[in-house]
Amino acid sequence: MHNPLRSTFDDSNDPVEEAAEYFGPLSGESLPEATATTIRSGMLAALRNSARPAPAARFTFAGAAIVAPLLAVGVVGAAAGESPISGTLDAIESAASTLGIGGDSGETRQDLEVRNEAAEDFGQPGSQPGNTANAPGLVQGAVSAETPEATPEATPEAAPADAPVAAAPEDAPSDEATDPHANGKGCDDVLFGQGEPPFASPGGPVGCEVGNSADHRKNGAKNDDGETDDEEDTGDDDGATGDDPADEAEDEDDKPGGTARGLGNGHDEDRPGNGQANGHDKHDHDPNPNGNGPDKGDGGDDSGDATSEGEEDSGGPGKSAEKKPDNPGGGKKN
Amino acid sequence: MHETSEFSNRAILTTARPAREAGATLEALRRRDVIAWTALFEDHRDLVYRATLSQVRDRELAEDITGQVFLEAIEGIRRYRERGRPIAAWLLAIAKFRSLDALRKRQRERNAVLPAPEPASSAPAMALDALGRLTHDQREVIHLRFVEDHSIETVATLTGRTPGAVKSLQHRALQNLRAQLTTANTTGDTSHA
Repeated sequence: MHNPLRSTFDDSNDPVEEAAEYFGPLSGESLPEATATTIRSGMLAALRNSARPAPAARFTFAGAAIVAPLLAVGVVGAAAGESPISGTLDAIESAASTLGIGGDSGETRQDLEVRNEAAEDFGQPGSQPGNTANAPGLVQGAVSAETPEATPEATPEAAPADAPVAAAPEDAPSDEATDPHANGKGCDDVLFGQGEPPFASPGGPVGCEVGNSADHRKNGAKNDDGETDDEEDTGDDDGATGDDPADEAEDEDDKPGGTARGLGNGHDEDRPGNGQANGHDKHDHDPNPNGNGPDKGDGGDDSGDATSEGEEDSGGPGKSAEKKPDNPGGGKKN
Repeated sequence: MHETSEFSNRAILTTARPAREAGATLEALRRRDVIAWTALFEDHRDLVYRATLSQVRDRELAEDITGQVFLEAIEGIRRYRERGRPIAAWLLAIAKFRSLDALRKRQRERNAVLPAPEPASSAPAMALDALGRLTHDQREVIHLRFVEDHSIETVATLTGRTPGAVKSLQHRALQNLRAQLTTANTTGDTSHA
């Protein structure tokens, strides 16, 4: 038998048996009964305290107690012919006023109305319904009949959105003041004259439904064919504009080197910097079938020449990139 | 060979309970059934107490830690997941961690004031002294193996180790004890830290 008081092991014995004898006296150690009683009472107290309802259940009950009356008020309001939402809102407002923590939501609604009115009065010429870039907060339905008055340049072209671009100048009056496209230069000139910045919005001047800057610049481009422009102007205005100094000035402006020429490099060259808007390739249509611009699409005998020449020689806008160095103005090449 | 205590037999029976009965007990504990918790305490109180005493080697501290273990078990029974091990293993794990916390705290206090160690004068005190020369894991294995008289496999189950790891820990613990006790006997120094 191993004597634990020797504090050593006997090498001759099995170390496991020796260790069992050495540590065996510890097996008689037990928790004192007094301590066990204390622990027992503490455990019972902990078990009783933990028997409370869970917090989630309490929150669920509180939430139901708040929401249920509101729903009841809404149902009553709906039965009385009012909107359930308005009934609920009124109930919430009254409850908040009673508690002194809420404001009047009518003020909020008034602010919203004022904001809508301000959006309608947005004075930017050519503001289009739904163009949020020009008039943030202005929606399609919020625009009233006052919009045409505010945007006189856009009203003549207030045609259906799918109307042909080339047909717009013919359908519109020939008056330059009302139809920017009929002046032979495009509406951007009119808009620039009113102080609008060029390229105010992507795709063309603000307010024009043609929507493509290339169209604006091509419809009035006389390029280097002054006779064609003159004849067209004469035809549109019954020859009266031939003696008009304003038309002469416009003719001067339409010569190659002017604004129209510089921007009429062909629609297939939709590269940044050439004045073309991106989109003709994507629209699957040729806005300038005659090679002279949209305002000459159906006009006169000259359109046939322009079309045939543009197609055969590929010198017209949007036909060939190889011809552009020789014909930077697009359209007819002389 | 030392005699196996009555509690040790009960603990072994508890460990060998069928899974269905253990599951029913666990459900009752999760429902915070007082009878189930009382039975659990009565079955494992001495086991937890001795395991704690083997670690801290202080009876009063072991009693306090034993109470903390069962209170912590009540709070944590919802998070307890049965992994094929008896619930005694969970209680022993709690006891081990709480004992280590107490040892760290006592170590900090001893760093401030160094009390004079008292020489062991009884067999249990000498055994506790010898346990103090071992690591925490070695103490755990020695306690279950030679105090609670469990087999290698049962110790492996209770400690979450493999039987080989238990054997290795036991072997190194006995070698360490032999070397230290032999050195102490040679120098005549019977006082231990």
